[in-house]
Amino acid sequence: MECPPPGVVKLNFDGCLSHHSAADGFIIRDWSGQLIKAGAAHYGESGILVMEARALRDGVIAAAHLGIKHLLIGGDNATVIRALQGEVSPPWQIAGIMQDVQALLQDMAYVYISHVYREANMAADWLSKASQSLLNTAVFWDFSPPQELSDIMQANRIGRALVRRDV
Amino acid sequence: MLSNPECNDKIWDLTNPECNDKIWDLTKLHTTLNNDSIIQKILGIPIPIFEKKDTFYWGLTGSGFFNTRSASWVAHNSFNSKDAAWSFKWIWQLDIMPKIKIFLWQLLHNAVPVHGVLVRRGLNIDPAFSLCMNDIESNDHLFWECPCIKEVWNLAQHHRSLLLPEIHDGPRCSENNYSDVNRTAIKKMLSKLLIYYGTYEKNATHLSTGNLQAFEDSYLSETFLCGMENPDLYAG
Repeated sequence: MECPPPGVVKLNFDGCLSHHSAADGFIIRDWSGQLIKAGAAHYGESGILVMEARALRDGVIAAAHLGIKHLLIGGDNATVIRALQGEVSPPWQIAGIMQDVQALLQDMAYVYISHVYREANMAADWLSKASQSLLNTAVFWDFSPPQELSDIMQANRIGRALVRRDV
Repeated sequence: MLSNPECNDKIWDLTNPECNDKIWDLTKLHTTLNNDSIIQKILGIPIPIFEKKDTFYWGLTGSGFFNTRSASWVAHNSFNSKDAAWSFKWIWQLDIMPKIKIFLWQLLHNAVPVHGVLVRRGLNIDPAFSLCMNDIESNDHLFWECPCIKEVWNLAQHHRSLLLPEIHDGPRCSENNYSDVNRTAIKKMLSKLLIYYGTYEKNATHLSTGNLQAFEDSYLSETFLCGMENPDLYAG
């Protein structure tokens, strides 16, 4: 994981689809890789693009609630990232969600958006996949995350080479 | 609500008013709809956080704006089934020069700008085939049906370097039952093979063998083929 500079927090988001359910996950960490907040939710039937955008929105909502002003955003969906950067106009399916995100980001002092590869987005990826098996619609963690997630975070923290895991 | 037009409920009534972040009210959805697959689809619809006006989107384009191309896809019933729509896609896999691929593609889609096609597109010209003056210069006439052209194919087919493989061996032919439509497709396939073998032979001669006899043979076949279309086709 690319570490943000001190004082800046990083938000990673990811969405995923399984047979009949769509889910998203996000994780907010500080510059040292410490967990600030992680969230996962599953929704009904939806498209992958909508889920990626939703993951982003859920993450940005959480960041806004926490009063974060300096945010680095990383996601592995090129369409959502490029729409967020303003390089392309968002596809109509996510136009509304992206408007929400832009409105939320306007209150922040510093926002940097980057496209990351899936391997670098493992924590968010894990969250979105894990949330499909959740009973509740949405779950959040502030501290004491599940063991598997803390393992991934620890690996990110010490900068271990990330290997694409089998899905 | 969906099945009952008399119902005065609004979509808004199905969201949870007590929740700060607007979410769908699962209990209300279940009591109103009682159809799990519809409920799952509704749950997948994101609710905006900030108030915004409803907008119309044309769902078949990425941008949401209407264009006639996507509408025409739908009208031809081939949206999302591009594989079926482009049954001559295999042309692009052939190991031949791009300009020949493009030509074959146009030929098989009836898009070579022969006189008949140009007239159909609204040009004010004589549509007759200038060689025989018997019929409209359509793709089929120009490349297959005209007796003058049949002669060319016969000569080409009997040419030593252009021996054709059995039709049954041709790609995609084996599953056909030789209906009229398929016969046309096979005829068109033959033209592809002829052009392909002609080109292949010529390249082999130019690039490696240096065999004078082979060169003459291929030159002969080129002359046959070039007589039919633009001579530039084989200039590369």
